[in-house]
Amino acid sequence: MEPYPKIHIENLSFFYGSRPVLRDISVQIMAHGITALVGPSGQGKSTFLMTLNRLWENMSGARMTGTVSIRFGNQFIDIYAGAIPLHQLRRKVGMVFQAPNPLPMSIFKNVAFPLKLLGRNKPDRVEHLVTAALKRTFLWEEVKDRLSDDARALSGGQQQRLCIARTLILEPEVLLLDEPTSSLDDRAGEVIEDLLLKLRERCTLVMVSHYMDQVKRVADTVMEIADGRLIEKR
Amino acid sequence: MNRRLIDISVTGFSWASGIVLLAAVFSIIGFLFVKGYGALDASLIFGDTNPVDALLLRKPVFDGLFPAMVGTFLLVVLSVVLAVPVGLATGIYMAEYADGAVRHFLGFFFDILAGIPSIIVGLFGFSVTVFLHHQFSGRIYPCLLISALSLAFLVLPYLIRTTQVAIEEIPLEVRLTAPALGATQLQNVCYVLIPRALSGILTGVILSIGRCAEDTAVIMLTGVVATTGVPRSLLSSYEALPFYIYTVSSQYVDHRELMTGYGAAIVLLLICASLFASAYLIKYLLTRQFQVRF
Repeated sequence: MEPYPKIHIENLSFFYGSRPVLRDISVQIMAHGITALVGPSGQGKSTFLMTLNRLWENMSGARMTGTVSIRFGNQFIDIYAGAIPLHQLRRKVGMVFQAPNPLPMSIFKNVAFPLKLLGRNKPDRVEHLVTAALKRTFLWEEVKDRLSDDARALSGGQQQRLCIARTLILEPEVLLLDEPTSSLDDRAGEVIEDLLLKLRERCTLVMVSHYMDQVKRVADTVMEIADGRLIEKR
Repeated sequence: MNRRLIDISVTGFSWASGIVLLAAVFSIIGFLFVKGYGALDASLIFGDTNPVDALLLRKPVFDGLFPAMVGTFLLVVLSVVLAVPVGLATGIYMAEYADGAVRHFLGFFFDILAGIPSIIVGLFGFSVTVFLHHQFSGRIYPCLLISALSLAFLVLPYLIRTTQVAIEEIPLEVRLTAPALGATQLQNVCYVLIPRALSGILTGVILSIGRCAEDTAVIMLTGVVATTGVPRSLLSSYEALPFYIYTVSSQYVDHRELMTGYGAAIVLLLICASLFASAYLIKYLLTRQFQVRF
């Protein structure tokens, strides 16, 4: 398949109060690749991710200018123009946070949680989708006998894979990852990296990372954000 | 050396404060039990009336605490039932929906409300009763419902603030978990924020129970009387233990009557303790349920 752009960003600027965080960023992100965002801390990498699923709107005191368009089907949709409902956008553009954040419920219910939000409660279907999501994140064999256990009892690496499974159950077209391995040990980090390489076949990944070795191993494109500006490096 | 001295001083002061507080609590409870122990028997509660007849409301109790116990219990439960939905809803609004200026203004307003002396709230309740009596129905007098509404008004700021703080203290990444999965704001509130904040919210409810059970100034002006029996409706006047204790301690004529005041104080403490225990049980069950249920 010919590579094609998935995300198109034009003149994106972002402010917390009057402080500029991102300045006039214009860039294209290609589909079915892993785009890594690198750069010093506090320069707006996480904020950049949150402009792609409008999650920054849940925080007060922030504002944005510019356009962000994402290709769904055959057409680009400006995600800030009201053409796609916010909740639908966030199901198509999933996000995994830096620290694993399982909800205080069982492993099974954590992964099935997005389906509950959608109102899909048919037990057979839910069970099938949960199993599939856990298998895709290489977690099934480790948890299949204790699906009703509290998810918070899992190890850090397992919790992060659980959070990825929870996001993947919605079949997102774009997956945003905010330093997904920073709170994990090397072994758990390697498992997540393998998982990301597999996921590339199914969706477009945009990942913030501080580990240059990791970026070299997994990223197809590397972009640096420094002083609010974006520089494409590779 | 100086830093070590400061460390030791601060630690010592903290320990001493804790011990003084504990000693004060045990002194009060001990004092009451030593003084009132002799008055604790069935006649303190039921007087000359057969307890079974009194409990089944077949015969009135004239010289016991039973009507005041029922009045206090109904007052606390009714006040909390009236205050909790409004307090929780407002706290959630403040934490999740109100924007900066509105939140700031309302927060300031609720802080003022929390600082209003209870006697003023009682006067307000009394004034409302007079207004209703003249404007709507001559049958409206100070009563259980007016007292409960006034007490609910009194504890609302505590409920609002504890709910707001409990929700706002949830870490940002947890607050964003459900929205990042496509949850609506209401779904986020119901499925993530309230279960996570439940413990803090219920602590506010427990504090409100204590406040409703002990307040005397509000009820003195809004419906409590010295002798009226068990309230028959929400529009009845009623007896309450705090008012009974206040009356006895200020107007007792002999040692026996004073002893009943101490006895009433012990009974009030026990009622509060049982209400707290129930609230803690509900807190435990709800927290567990929210963790397990889907």
